[in-house]
Amino acid sequence: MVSKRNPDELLKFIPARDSPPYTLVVVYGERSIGDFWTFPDDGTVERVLGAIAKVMPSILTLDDVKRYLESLDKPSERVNRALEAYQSLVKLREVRPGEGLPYKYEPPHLPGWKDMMIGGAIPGLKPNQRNPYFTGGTAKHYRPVINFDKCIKCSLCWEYCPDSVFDVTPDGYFNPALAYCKGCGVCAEVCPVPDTIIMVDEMEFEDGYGKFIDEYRAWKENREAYRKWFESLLPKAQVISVRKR
Amino acid sequence: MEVVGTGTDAVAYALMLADIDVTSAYPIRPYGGVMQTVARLIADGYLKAEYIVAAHEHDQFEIVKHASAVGARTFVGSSGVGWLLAIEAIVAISTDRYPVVALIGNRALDDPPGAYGVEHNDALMVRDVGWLLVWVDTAQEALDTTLIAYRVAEDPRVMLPVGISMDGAFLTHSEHVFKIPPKSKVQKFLPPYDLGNRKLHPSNVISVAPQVNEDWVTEIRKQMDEAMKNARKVIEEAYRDFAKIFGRDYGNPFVEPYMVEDADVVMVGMGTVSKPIKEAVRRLRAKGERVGFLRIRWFRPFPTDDIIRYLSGVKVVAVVDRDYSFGSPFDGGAVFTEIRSALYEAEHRPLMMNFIGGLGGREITYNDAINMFNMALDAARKGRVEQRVIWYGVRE
Repeated sequence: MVSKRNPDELLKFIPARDSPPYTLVVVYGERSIGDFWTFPDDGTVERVLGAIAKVMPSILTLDDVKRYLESLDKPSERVNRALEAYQSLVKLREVRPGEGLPYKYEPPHLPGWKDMMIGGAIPGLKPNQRNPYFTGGTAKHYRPVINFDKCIKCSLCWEYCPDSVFDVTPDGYFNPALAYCKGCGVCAEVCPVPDTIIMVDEMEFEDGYGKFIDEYRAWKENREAYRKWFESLLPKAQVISVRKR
Repeated sequence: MEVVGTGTDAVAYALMLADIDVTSAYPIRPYGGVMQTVARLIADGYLKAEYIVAAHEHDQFEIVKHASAVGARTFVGSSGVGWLLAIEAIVAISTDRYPVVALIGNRALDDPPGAYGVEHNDALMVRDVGWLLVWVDTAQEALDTTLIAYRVAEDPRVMLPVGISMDGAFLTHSEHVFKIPPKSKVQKFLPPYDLGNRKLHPSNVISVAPQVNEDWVTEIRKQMDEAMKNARKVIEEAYRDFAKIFGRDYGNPFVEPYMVEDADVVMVGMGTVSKPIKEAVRRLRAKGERVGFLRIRWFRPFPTDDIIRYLSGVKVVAVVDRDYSFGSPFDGGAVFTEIRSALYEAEHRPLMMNFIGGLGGREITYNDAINMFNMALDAARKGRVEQRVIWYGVRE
């Protein structure tokens, strides 16, 4: 894992496993997301390779890593990053069975051909309905926090959310069902009122998967407490767009 | 009402009776006659339908696919390479399960270009992708089969498209006398098109044709498999009701047996080749030869049981293919190969011969049919087939 936090702190957010014990390796650095379409050339790959050489030289030795990185462009910069991780940036933590966030992955039930609509058609969802299998798991990095005091009920967050996360409340607010949120930030992006939907690092919260806070209910129960909580999070919010912040 | 008209005219009258909602047209011969007659029927006020002139065949088939998805009864058609240009949309129509009815005016595939005559390879290109395929023989059968096609395609147990194959020139362009039934009877026979919960409409929010991964493709194909199997029963029901309501009984819906009961040699074919072969059967029967003919109407679903019933125990089965399947088992035609495969389960397997004939619209006369029968009778007498596949009439 690439993080600036220490292993004990991270373990609160990592789903527990039944068995066997494993070693959590944390490489110091900014987290970085890469996939088929994006490859941020920010040193993450080099640091991870250096960490593997440190922790499991049977898979990859430091010489292997160097030889590979020297074949690329900017070789000295890349090798330095790998060396940095190798020498000083790796923290290890043995994780026992059951340690971590109590969250059990349930694989989706796939319907048989007799249960599906013909031609693979899919019934649409009604408002406040969601596909129970499309939860975000433990994957999201940020979550939306809503300042209901400032909300003008324009419904843009509800319309734009690609995962239909928002429930319409009886008095016309839009309450995120956080278990389904993937943390994309579109709601915060389209919200026309500054600092009304903010995206906050998931690791600021310890409510945990499956028992996420109900923001709307918390606000209804104690507006003053909610306002204070929101204001405490505001400085930690991600900068969503220059236009607004 | 009795009228004189071409095979494509007969289909157009059937569309008027079936009260289609949308048709899309793009000209290509020999199918093209049907779009001209439909245009005239609309212009003269006999049919109210959207007539959309497409930019090309791919558009043409996409248009009816989408129209069918929103609940419109649709008609479309093409020939030869035009049909193949639309192949992506054609496959999507069946895999999305829309009961489109199409006319295929059978035509040789280019190249060589400009061979407008009949060959069945165009329709046979879709034999494996979930289209029901039927071959008609007369203008009357074309009209009747079009009505039956809508009834079968739109049955909730089927919901698959039907391709009606009609021999180019020999039937698309030749004039026949045929009867146009009253619309009241058609309404009794053909219920309104109802997609049920799959109708795309703002009041019925669904997604169709979703992008899926390997978790779903097998199940979607299996649904199609079941629908195609169901079609056999639905076709039987449709012909039974058709006979009751219109008073015209086609007997076995899937095949037309002609003097096969005691036959030693049976010729098998699809489409208008029946005419010269039936004539040859009559002449040879007059001379005491025990010959017969079996015309295949429905090629998909394939009439496996009927093929076995009529051909098991026959001495020689000779299949006339107006198509060819290059590199197929024993290097024969597509129909020959399928019949041979079905007969593997027959109690008494016949000897089999295959005549590749009439390609690109070359005529097969009754003299040709008699020559073919004589070769098959010779094999029957000898008890063995010397040449399994014969390119009949090919210039050496």
